[in-house]
Amino acid sequence: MTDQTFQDYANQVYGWAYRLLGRHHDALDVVQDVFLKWSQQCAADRPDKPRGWLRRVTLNRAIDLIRGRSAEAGPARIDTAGSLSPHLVEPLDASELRLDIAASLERLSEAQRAVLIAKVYDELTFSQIAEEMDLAVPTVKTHYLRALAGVRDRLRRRWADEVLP
Amino acid sequence: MNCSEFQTLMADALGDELSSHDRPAFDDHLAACAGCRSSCASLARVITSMRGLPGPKRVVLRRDANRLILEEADAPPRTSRPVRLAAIVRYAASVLIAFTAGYALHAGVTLTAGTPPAEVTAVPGATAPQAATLQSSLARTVARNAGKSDLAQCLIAMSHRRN
Repeated sequence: MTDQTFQDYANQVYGWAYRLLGRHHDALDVVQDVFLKWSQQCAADRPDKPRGWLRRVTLNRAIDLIRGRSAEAGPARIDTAGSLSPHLVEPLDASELRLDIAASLERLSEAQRAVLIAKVYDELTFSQIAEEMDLAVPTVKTHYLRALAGVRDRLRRRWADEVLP
Repeated sequence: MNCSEFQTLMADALGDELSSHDRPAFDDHLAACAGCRSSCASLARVITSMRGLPGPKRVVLRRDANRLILEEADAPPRTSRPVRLAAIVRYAASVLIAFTAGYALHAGVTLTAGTPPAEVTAVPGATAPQAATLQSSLARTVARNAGKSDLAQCLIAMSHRRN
């Protein structure tokens, strides 16, 4: 039932979206979109592994939003001025880092992205991820390493600019 | 252990799943090979960077009458400009009104464009005729989705409005 799925996973969906977007209200928009899609596609035929489905759809939707932002504003900065209250604003360094990470996630495959988020933020084991995504464990590990390398390649520019103490 | 064998264990190490059996050989190679050490360190730094970002607020699902509302837990009272969430709540109220109107239509009551119910003007920025059109549109949307859960109806209606 949709309401129960919402109860069970709303926080996680919000969290995945927020990790990429860094903006509370954008993340809420993603939550709405994802559960709308859920209610349209899955209410009658619920996926065996709802969390895997929700994570994949959430990340794709968040990436779509990031692409939309880039198209609208060129090289984007997180719009802290447009945030709604001070407790929702994160420091500029953090928002720039989040943007770099989001930009690198955009270049990963859907599977690499999902594995990385499941491992780094959800802290699932490789076996759990493999089961959730219907993949072999060695494949999950390969996705994980490639995803990390993809993000690293993007962050290297940032690291090169950092002044060492 | 050579570099290729090290690479196969690197995912385990970076995923905090390196077995105690493999750990000594992994550590030995890590200490001996500058290339693998650098590679492993840079990937570990990615994880640290990602985990170091401020995490999401906890959100809570609140049920208010027939509405389901997702909002921040422990959010301070909002005194600044109106927020999207407030608009969502207002809109959810208008959906309920439309839902009622849908039942009224079903029961044979006629709604005319010139006489929208006063409550419809609660939709921000809508003039009376626009509000009547919106209400009529919402009534159709809601009627089309009759039988779906209240959450699904709210989500559909909100999406309808955004589009």
